[in-house]
Amino acid sequence: MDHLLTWVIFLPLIGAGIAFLVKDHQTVKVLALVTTIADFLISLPLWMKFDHGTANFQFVEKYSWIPTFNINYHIGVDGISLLLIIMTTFLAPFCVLCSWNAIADRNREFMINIMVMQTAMVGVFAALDMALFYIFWEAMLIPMYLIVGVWGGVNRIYAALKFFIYTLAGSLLLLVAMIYMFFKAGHTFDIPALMNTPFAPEAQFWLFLAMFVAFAIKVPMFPFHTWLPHAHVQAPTAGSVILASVMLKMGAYGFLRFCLPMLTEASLSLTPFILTLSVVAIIYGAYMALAQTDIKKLIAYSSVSHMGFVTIGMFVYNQLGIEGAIMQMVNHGVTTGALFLCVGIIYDRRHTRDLSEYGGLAKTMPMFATCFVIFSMASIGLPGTNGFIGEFMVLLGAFTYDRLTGVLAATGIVLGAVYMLYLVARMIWSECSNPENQKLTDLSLREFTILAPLVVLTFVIGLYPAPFLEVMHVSVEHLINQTAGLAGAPQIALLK
Amino acid sequence: MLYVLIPLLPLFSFIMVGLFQKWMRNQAHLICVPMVFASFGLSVYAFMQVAGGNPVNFDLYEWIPVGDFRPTFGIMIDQLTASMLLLVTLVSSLVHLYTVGYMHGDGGYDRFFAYISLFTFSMLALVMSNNFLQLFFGWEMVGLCSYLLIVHWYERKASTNASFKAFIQNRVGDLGFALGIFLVWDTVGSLDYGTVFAAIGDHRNDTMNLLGTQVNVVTMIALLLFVGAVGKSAQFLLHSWLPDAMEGPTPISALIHAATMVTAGIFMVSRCHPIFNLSETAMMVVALTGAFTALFGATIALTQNDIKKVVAYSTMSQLGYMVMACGIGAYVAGMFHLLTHGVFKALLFLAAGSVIHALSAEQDIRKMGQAKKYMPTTYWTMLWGSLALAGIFPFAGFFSKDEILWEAWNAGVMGKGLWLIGVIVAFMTAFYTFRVFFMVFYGKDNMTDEMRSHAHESPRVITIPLVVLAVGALFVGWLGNPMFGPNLSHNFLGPVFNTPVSHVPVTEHAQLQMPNLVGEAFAEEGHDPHAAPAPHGEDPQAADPHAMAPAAHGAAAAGGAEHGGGHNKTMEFLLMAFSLAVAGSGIFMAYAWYYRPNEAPAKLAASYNGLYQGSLNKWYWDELYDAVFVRPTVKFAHGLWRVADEIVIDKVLVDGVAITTRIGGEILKFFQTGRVQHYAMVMSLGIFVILGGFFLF
Repeated sequence: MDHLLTWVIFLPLIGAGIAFLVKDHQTVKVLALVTTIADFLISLPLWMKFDHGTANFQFVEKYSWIPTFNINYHIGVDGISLLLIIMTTFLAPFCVLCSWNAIADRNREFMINIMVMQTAMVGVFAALDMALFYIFWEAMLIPMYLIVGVWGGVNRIYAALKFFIYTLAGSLLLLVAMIYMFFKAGHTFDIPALMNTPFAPEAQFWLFLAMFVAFAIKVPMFPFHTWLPHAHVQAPTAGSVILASVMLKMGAYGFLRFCLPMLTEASLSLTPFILTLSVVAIIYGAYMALAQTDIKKLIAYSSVSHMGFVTIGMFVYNQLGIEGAIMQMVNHGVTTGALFLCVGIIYDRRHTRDLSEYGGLAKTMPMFATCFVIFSMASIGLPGTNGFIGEFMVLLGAFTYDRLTGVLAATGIVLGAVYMLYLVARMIWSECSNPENQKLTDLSLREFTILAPLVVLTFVIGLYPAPFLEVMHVSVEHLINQTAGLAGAPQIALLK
Repeated sequence: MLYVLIPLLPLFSFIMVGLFQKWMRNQAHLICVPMVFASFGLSVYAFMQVAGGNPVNFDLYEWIPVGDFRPTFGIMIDQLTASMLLLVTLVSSLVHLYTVGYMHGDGGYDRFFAYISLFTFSMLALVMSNNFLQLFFGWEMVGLCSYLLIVHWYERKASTNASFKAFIQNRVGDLGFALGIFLVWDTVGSLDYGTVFAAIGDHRNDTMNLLGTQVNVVTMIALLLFVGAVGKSAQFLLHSWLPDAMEGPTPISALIHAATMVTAGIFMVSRCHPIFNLSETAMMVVALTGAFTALFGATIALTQNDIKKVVAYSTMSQLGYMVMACGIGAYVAGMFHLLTHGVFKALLFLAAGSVIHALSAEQDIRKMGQAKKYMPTTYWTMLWGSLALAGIFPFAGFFSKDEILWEAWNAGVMGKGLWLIGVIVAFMTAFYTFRVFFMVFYGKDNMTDEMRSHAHESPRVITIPLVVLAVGALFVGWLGNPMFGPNLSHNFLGPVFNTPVSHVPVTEHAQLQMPNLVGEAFAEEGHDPHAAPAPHGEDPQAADPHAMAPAAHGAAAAGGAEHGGGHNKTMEFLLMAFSLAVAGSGIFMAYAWYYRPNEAPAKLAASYNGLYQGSLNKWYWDELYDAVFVRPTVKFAHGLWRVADEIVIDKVLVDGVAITTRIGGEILKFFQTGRVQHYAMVMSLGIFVILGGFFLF
């Protein structure tokens, strides 16, 4: 199929367009499901036909769009973005399925939002023109704002506004950086061209800071994370899944796509700063998670902790670290997405996220309990599950780069187990004393269909990650070679 | 390739039971039991092959291939693995069988079977690994299974808490273990056993910076790996999860928390002996940790009243023995004790389970007594198990424990100290073991009528495994008997520990800069068991036909018991007789105090109330951890969240920016009234001020 990537990006938007014309809610639901599944299926050839042997962008399409500013419709995929695109398309049908009955009000509009969102998200990962990237980047905000603000919980307006303003503020700095780069690079927004443009070190420093704020808010890195718990708690399940699984990856992807290759010197010199924030995020996020009694907040803070591994992995400039970071992104997407889906499943039944309301779910919902424990173990990073692969690679990469970073980050191994098992102990084990919990029903067929593929994926990645890793080798090596020629980053030599 | 089936058969039963749970309900054993027995059969075959000189080592596939980092899933069976295979599959098979009876009618019957099968798979993956990463995989997976089985009765609060504690304490150990693996990778650039053990000698003088001090890299690696062993084998400081783990059903106490999983630490240290041998500091730490744990566990076991708790603390204490053996380089003795202990401790647990099962789930030995008449088979098998644990000739524990004591005796000045601790522990062991035995089967009948009316011998499916293990407890020790005929355990296991690296002495300056007590002690004695070339020259072991390793001189690390010759033989017998007497007096004391109701123990407890309470309350270790780690962590987390996150970052910084902006807007809006007169007035005022300033200054 020609224009394969364009199809993957815009198929959901077409679906949304059709949904606008259809008035019937039931039809729109089915339409959304079919569209997202079709989108996933047509995205698979990207992976299958992907050439592992080159670091060049593949499936490239380039058309002049706004010639005045030399803006092109330029898209393509490399080893870094491929898995993130597949992950996005893979998760979309679950977002539709989990909103099947949960969203009773204005279901049609909700599905339209999900589909618009999907186009914007895939677009961000596929864009090879910075202006195009920025458009997709900002376009994501609107449906997400609506998803939280319209279908959210009690405090949804505050949360949605906070999310919107916060991320927008970051994005504006990104815009400034972009415009500066546009002029310096000879009037182009073209990402491959910008990668080959050497920016002056002082300029790089400021550009890096501007982009850092934008991306750090999105990741979110400590201390830019406080919008996340609010947004997660208020968002409906599908919103949380999209937020945690895909939107958080955008920030990390931004670092990989822009900061490392374009602003290499600045990245290297600011590495200690990034690593420090990341280590703080891992430990701090874990402590925050431990203090929560709201299940969604707990998982939201665990995301802060887990994303700390991602930012560490990217900034240690070795293959284990960067590939580990990408794996960790995918794994976090799968696992945390799954955990939010699980929370959604019990929220649909009990309409509370308060941990003290639950207990002994293993008794009344054994299948659910099994899935939840599996995802928890993946989140803890147990070998054999997907979580282990990314976490271990990142830690090993970090350890070889700077031992202190590696050691401090590794404390996440223990802390992660503490808050996750605390959650499991309170929710899944212990006595089923609450009469409300005693009459709960186990997974329905629809819910089982949602969780089963994620369970399978957890073990597939955990035991045989080679197919996922091999697509990124060459692209990551290329990225490392770009940084390798430059002076090594200052080392924090406490343990070296 | 046939060997792949050894771990995969139990995995297969786990998957089948897991997937078809609905149809399996009470039939789970139909698939699990045959599979694990088949696995046992294959293990026997593997053992024969290895004994016949056909060790195996091959890779299955690359697990995480990234650049130079290419860890694999693979299978290696040498003598060490083969012995573990036999133990794991044998005990697992018997426990599977026992479970059929013990868990009959339990709501989680199928789940229980699924998890013990998964555990068996994980443990086999652990011992059959040929590299560090798969070892870590098995290491964490057995921890998971342990967790899931402890929490089997998840509705009990105690089970939930115990499972949490077990997982977290193990994770702390695993953190150290993982860091050790990182350091191995960073030092050698490989995680494959063969490559690492061959190359580690080249790095014995490498140093690294630890918070400003230069320390030996190999010492660091050994210590970090040992942290993992401390967690998994419940050594002192990470020990308190093991007794709590008794909340799980008894079959898993026997399988996981006595015979197999908890011995993984000893197995790992033995497996990594080329690393440990290079560091005297690490060896000293290992030896002292083991000795202290042995003593610590035994002192607590003296006063516990829960039958399973006594056996659990005894396990901890015995694991201490094994770790101590590793620490003095007596790996064969440690492994031999591991194997015999695996058999008789599994027996004791299963027998204790049989007692509990028969006495309406009562675990408090103060509420038992005179149970002999109800359960003769349990009585006899438990007697054999107790004799083995107490170390009475000719039962298994006698041989293996005395071998450790003998090795300690030969390990220099520190060794003599360790020997003394070992003997004291042996006395306590004999005492507390028979305290339980007499209180359960003799003593005063404290059972309720309810219990008495239901008391019965357990069904066949429970007693058969007991009998098999009891026979094992009698005979397995003879494999390592130093008196008559060949010492089979040394012949078989010895060569594993004869790797060439262990013969290269560590140079002095490479050591951690601290008083090197062991080194000096060993030098004085002239037969450093783990480093220096053995002064005794050719060891008879080296000519062993089964030897895989190059037959270099000095199997000192392995064949310590034999390198003496005639004079030492006499000494060995003397010491044996002595420790036998010690164990005998322990039993006698228990007999005197508990065979018939007696006031003596109560009086003694009253006159040394502090010590008694200390032992009874596990030396308050749980309370200490609670006060130092658990409560402060929770408090700190809550405080940090409320203050740092909610107030400082979110309200002051983030919302602060928003509010400042809004207030700024509110103020500025007064200046934008839209009335030309206002603007004109402000302008003229401004000109006036500027001009005024200009003229004044």
